[in-house]
Amino acid sequence: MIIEKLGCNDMFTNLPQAACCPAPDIFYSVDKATWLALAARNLCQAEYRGLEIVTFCNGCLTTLLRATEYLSDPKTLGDVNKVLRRIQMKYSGVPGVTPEGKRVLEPVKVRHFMDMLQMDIGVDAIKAAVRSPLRGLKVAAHCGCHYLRPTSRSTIEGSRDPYVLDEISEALGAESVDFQDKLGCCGAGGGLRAHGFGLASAISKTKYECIESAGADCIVTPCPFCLLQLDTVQEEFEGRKIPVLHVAQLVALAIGVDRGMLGLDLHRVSADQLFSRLGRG
Amino acid sequence: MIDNGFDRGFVDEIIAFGGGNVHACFQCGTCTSVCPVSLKVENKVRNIIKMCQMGLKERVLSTPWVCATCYRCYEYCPSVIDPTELIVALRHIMVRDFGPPKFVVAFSQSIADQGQMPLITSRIKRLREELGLHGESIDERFRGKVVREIRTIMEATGFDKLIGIKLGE
Repeated sequence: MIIEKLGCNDMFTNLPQAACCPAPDIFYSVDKATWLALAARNLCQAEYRGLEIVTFCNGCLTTLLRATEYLSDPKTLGDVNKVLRRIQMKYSGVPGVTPEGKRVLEPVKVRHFMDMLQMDIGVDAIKAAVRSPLRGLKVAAHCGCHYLRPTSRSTIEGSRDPYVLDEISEALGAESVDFQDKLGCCGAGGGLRAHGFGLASAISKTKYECIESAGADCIVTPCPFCLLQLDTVQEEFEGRKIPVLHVAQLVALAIGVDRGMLGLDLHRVSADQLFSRLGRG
Repeated sequence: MIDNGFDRGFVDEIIAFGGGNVHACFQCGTCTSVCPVSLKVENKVRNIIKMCQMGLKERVLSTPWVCATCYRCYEYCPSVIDPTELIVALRHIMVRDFGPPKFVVAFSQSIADQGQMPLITSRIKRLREELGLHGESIDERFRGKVVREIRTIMEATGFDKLIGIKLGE
């Protein structure tokens, strides 16, 4: 929907046979060999067709980006291809030829949607597409860990002073407020949420308190897992509820996508106050 | 060799699972000062690394899941070891010695069954359609093939046996 409205439909196509990235906490944490082979299988889908991969999720980003890094080692690549041979696939990753005889020159490029918003679409084009500016809205920009770290991978910004999410928010007419521990974790990652021993909520609480005291009207994040955590965990906290949006939802909100198509009403924290804050109640 | 509770081979085991150069830690505590979890628990990252160096395997393996894998320690460690990777190596060892935690089994099983983690309920299908998305997140024409490929990979790496999941009927 927002891709249509931003006029970049032709930049995207589907990878109909791509599966789970796979999830870092389930696979990378317990068996790197399986993690890498499943990730390589997804990378092959793009490599055969000469495509870049773009994802809306920090977890997918970290898995696929790090997988290309691991696969740049010839021995590792050989081991993975031994597994992939059983499903008639091969990841090249270095100069080579696909089964269809196509030359491949570099590893599959893996990017976050944020990267596309900034580099391909551009802040000016986003500004130009704005129909209902988010004037007066104070946004807390939470990048999430795996968008920023580890920095050994190649992302567009470093890990110490990210600016893209703030720039996008401001291009939409909102104000990005600074808050303490901005680059800190939401609490969900590393299996903490899934393991369910209260640590995730305790970390989220610290995050929430920093954002709450900065006076933010909403939280925006490029990561669905941070969104899920920071949205659902607020049921456990006393005090003001702060709506949490994915960056795609924030863009959609400003470029005139109908409320019913934003998915905001599926979140636990009601979006009503957000709309009344924008004078659209 | 286990000597008074100190497992002399523990560091080598960690390194073999990609845990990095455990020996290089000189206990400066930078990792702990940037760790969101260390603020909340007794066994801080620095303590865990020291216990690894000393070979206190049993004690360490009672806490390996206490890490958000946020990689902040990695960004700041002056000794250029990667404490997050050390924790990941500990998880590898724990799963092999004591078996996986329940959530790993459940999520792995749903990926082996359907190629993705969230269960595809009729409610989710309906919501996706209402939002103008394909009803299915993996193209249904390919679902069978995708799942077969995933199961073949899991079988080839021995993941099904390691985790204790079933690959099909």
